Amino acid sequence: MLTTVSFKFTIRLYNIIAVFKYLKMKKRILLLGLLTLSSLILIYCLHKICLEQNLKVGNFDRHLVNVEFKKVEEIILPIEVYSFAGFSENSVFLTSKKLNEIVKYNFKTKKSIIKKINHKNHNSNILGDSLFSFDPYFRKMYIYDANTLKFESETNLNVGFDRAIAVTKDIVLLRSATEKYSKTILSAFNVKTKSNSKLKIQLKDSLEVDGGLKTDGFFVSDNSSIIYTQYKKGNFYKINKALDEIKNFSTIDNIQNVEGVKMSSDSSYYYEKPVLNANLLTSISKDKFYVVSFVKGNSDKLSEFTKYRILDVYNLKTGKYIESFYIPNKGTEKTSDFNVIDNKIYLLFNNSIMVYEFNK
Amino acid sequence: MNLISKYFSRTVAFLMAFVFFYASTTKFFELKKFYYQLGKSPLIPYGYNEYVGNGVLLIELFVVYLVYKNNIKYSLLISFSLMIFFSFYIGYLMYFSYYIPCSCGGILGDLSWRDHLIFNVLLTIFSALGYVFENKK
Repeated sequence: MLTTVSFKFTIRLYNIIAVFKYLKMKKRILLLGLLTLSSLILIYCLHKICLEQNLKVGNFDRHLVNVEFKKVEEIILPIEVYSFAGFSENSVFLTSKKLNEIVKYNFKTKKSIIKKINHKNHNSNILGDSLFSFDPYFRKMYIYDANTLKFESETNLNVGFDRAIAVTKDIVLLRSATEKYSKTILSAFNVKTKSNSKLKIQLKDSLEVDGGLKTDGFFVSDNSSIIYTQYKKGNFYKINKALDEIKNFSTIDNIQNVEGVKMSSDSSYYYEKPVLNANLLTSISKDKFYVVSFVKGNSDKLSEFTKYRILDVYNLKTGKYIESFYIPNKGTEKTSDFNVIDNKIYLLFNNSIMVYEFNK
Repeated sequence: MNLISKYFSRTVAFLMAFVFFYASTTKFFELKKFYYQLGKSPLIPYGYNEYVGNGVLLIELFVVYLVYKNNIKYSLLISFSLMIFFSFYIGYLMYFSYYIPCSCGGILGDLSWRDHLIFNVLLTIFSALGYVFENKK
């Protein structure tokens, strides 16, 4: 009798312990659930807080179109490269990552030439049979034979500049600095007379005292005009080759304010915190201006926008926005530079160029 | 069940302590790189990378300390919290980020992001099970 009671009591005790254990377990599972939820909320909050520092978000809508890309070829380059240095009829010129080598790839022979240079190729463009390379550090222009990449000449530009483009064999357009480097101006260097003169045409915010930081940008050109696109502002300028006419257009993001430029004790200018680019890479083809934008529009899907590069297309005659489309990655790698020639787009990825035909 | 609670939780706690010790020491020896990589993270507010880096190192070493002090339950709970956060963090970076910063050192730094995520999820599950079944009298 006593044994039976004792047995029942033991069973009951085990049940109570089991229930207790179960409840304890349930409490722990609940706690883990709450921690999981907290982590998700924390990630969401950080995402919201950091979104503005990671992405420029504008109040505009893109006209996003689907573009069919047909892969034409993949060109494997002998070294890793940073950007396109120029295109000629049969060849593409590229700048190495350290900017101290120029690579020429011939589309017909499918052969590459590597040229080591004793300066850095910061800016360059092709005119006829010459490759014009500019090094702001040495304040010089270097000319190479575009066929053989043999060095031809160097010219001291005598002025502080950061962007340059050869307009003709004798005239170089410079984004140069005023004395004391407080402002930026457009000037023209005459190779024959070796003189530099300030142009009548200027960027609309050229004389802002900021060391030229806010107006910084880059040149591209075609046969009839030169385009200067600003990195941090939603502006691009169309300049004629006579360098006496300039038109200002806005990109759809319409970003005009760049904040955070400060002057240090040695009177140089700097950004007090990183400022994101609005535009970075551009190309001109058939009266169309293509620009890789870093500004997310209202209707752009965040996951797509962050995974791919988006190209905004403008009419080069009117400056009006036409449409936008995403360009292909190579795996997860996004293109580091691009160029559009007729219906082909050349996308640069480290040591390869992907060539696509596209229907836009 | 008793066997699980007796050995499994303890084993997981020691595993987590090893992982965190390894991760924190490799980060510690490349501290500047670690801060730099964190500075590129799209989920860390600008200028807070060093605070976040120090916080992560301290928490990881705290887990090691708890295991050393035989406080299995709380070591597993903190391990779970860290690992679930890291898993969501990697998932977020893989899906949304322009750039995936890697602030892990040693072998972990060589893992692909997919493998890293799998590794983290496995450790999260282990630490969760370890915590639930932990039964120190």
